[in-house]
Amino acid sequence: MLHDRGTESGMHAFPRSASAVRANERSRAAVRAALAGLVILTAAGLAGAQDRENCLYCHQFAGLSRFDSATDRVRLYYVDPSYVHALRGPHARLACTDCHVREEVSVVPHHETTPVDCTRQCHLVTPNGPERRFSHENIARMLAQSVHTSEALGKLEFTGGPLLDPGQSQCLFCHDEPVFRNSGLFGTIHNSNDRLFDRCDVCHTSQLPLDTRYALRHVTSRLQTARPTLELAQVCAVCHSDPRFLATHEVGNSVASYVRSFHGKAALLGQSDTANCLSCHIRARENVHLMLGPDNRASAVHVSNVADSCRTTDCHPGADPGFSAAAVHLDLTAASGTVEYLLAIAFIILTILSFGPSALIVLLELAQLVIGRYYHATEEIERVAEELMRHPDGHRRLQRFSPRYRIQHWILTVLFVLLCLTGFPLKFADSAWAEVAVRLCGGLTMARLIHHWAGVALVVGFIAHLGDIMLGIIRRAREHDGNGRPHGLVRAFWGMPFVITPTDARKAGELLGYLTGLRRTRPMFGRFTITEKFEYFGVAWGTSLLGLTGLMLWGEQLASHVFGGRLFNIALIIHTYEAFLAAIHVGILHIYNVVLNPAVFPMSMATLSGYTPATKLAEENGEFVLEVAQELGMLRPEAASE
Amino acid sequence: MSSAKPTPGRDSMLTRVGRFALRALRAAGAELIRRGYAAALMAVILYASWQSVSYLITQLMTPPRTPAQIAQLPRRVDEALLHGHRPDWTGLAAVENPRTPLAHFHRFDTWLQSDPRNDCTRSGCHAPLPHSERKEVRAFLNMHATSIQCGVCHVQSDATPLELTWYSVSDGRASEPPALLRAIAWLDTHPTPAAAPSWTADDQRTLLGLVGDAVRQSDDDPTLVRLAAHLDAFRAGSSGFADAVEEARIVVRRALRGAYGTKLALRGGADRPILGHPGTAGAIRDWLANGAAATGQQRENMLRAVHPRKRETPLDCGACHREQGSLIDFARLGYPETRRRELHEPAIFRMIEHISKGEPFHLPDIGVGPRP
Repeated sequence: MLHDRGTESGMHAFPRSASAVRANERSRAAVRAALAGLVILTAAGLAGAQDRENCLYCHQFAGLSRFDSATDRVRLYYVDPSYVHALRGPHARLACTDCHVREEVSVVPHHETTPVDCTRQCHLVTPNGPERRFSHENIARMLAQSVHTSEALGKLEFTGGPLLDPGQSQCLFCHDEPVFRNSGLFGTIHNSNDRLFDRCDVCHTSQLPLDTRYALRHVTSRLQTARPTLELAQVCAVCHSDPRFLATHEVGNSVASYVRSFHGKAALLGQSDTANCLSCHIRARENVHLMLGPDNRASAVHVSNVADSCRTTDCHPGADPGFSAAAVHLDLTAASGTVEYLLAIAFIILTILSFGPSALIVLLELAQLVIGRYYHATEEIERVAEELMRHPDGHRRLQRFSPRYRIQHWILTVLFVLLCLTGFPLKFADSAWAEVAVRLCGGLTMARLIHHWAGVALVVGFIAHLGDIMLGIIRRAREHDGNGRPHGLVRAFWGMPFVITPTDARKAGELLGYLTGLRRTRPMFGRFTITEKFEYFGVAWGTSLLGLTGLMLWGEQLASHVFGGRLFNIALIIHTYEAFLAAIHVGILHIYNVVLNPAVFPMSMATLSGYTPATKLAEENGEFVLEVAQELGMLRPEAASE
Repeated sequence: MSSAKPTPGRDSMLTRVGRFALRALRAAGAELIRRGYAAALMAVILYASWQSVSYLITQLMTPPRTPAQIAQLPRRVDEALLHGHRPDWTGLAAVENPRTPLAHFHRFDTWLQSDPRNDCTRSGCHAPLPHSERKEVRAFLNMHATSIQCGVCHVQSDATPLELTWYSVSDGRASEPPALLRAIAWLDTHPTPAAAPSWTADDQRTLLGLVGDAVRQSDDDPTLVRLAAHLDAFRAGSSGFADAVEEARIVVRRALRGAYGTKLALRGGADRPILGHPGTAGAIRDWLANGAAATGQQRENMLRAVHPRKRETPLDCGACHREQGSLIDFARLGYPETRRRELHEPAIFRMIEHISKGEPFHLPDIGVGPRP
């Protein structure tokens, strides 16, 4: 309808001289007759259409609008005709004049219109009986008892000025034209299965008249929430994410913090049935228009009720009451000083301290190549390594990774990639790629399923690996040293090739000294370099932490009885930060070491054959080469010590 | 002849030098590549490491932000929105039933198609919905702004009928008539086959191609998207496809709502569309810089310089919407017969003429049943 509230004042601005009135009277009859014919023709053409007054004849055009420079607003007078033609919502059967005042809009140009009052009585036309009178007046009564009172809504201030025009219904803050949601049960609204309706129409014709298509759409739509979670977040964000609103009400951006929670991220990734704002803020069997503030004792989110709000049958029925201590609106920035905040800081420091030195070594290694600084002392060791490769025993001894460990590595690789592909979309849920990744996985439910079971496989694999290592330690403990005494478990452990020893730490310092030009000689490492040992330790540490926290988050109801609710915040922080650390370590540094490093490019064969190329072996594992050569008598002890 | 024969000694020397130079070059090249590769890797690792660590810190230190999928919605319909496309609003694309701006209750499935090639609006002088003065007709006139370039009504042209061309709003070049009109023409000339053989695969390909083009030109009008899906879903000769064609007859006509991807403009030399007053760039700059301060005759002169070919009186509705003597040759512009009849319909333009004279027009009580 033409809601003109510009400088003109409706029809009173028109010339109303006697001659004009007479001319008007003369032409009116002819034009009305012509238009009446047109309306009849058009109405006949739109068989079945609900636009009884034929307003869409003009109002379907997108351009039927104007720009009001005084208010910098565009007055949109067009409506989506398919809403009416395809009966897309419960208002599709209303006449325009059920909401708009007939006397104001039955004249062209329309009179200055009164804003629509949603509590006004309308007349629903249904095929199953006479018109029904209907009004939203009861909703207005409910709102008066809620936190969203007319007075509260009337005081709202927004960034960029008011969102509604003066006098417009406050319902528009949350509602636009209601639509029936597509039903997953019976196909989409527009692609409904005809055979289904044929079955309904067997009875619902003349004796039990019912427009079965419309009724089914209505019912199947209302079997779901009126809006999917993301749309509801959009509705709430109008106020609860508006900077001016947040400033005047001195509250945090609750929509943004919700979106950082699991539920919010799931909504962003297309899971429409995850918990939405109303799931927590409205008590079961309560009308959404009766939402109360958190300070009200009857509110679903009042401290005395919030546990029950989490534990409804739809959500976490088996959870401990303490489960509600898990923060849905966890805003770490605002939570400075809390355990959660300190833990996040600790993880950032851990990331910098663990990733930083490794990255520094890689960058310095590359810098050597850029400036053309080569360590020529390795050429002799490279020659020895090549000689050993030709020796049957030497060849066997130089294999750094046995088939058992290579297989374990590849299993770990596959599981790690799966976990990253299915886990990181949730961390970066608002990125475009995240949605694509989840869709490729077959949806969030499938992605989570893959993530959970890949995690279980990783944990099981890790336990098996630990068992394998333990057996190795026990075997070694039983061996006798040079003095004929058994090693013992502790000595055996320290003797394992993966253990980081004080010598390794010293050599790491020497390596840094060499790479920065402070030392002339490059230290040599044994079977595994310090970076490899560090990566191995990282995998063990990361798998333990991620596995433990992952299991807690997965079995949240069971875990809540043991750990309470707040530990979920901590588990979530550990899980996400540790996963990020693992991903950047592997994605940047490990990929460099085994793929992009010029010494192994395009790929290190060590992961397939167990052998490292002689050049790289000499450069990084020189001590290991010399040790093998000495044991096989291919090197004089003095040369080795040199 | 024998003197021309190269001596073995000099030859081998030259060869050795050449080989040495080649080897040196190769080695230098390889070294260069090696160092370049290492430098590039350094840059990538440094960048990725910096990004990763700074992400962690900023994530903790900056307050959470509402993602675009939720926040990027048209909350207020102001002029800036008229210059954009509907897909620009991430929030709308992210959900099942995107909501409309707050002050606008009714759903809109599409958005006013912007015309970045129209000099009158892209110059910054006129809004994309330029008519705002005469309340009686401004919305009706703006309705035409989505399918007709301003010059058709506002630029002086003595030709009868007007020399017009379609142009693409995406590149400003002369184009075919809108796919929707071509689809209607095709459907009008292809009545439903009375008996077998029914629709052929060629029919399906042609109609689907036209509807597909219309989908693109309309910025993905959802009703056309659905129609294209229906037309594509059935085998050409099946009853399902026959139903889809009948659906198409209704849907393509309903889709004539102003989003055609093409507009009508006056035709200039070499069949190029005239999208503004030629040679007025300097005058426009002058107007934009000094127009607000200008008054009286100076202002008039400036505006005259910006609009050298402006009609004194713009064309009114009746100039085109009539069967006899219409200034637009609809048939030549590709309008099918059925659409021409609608555009020539006298009742509408008579009504507009009537109200444009300041005489309010009362709609007849048609189609409204008795009230209980």
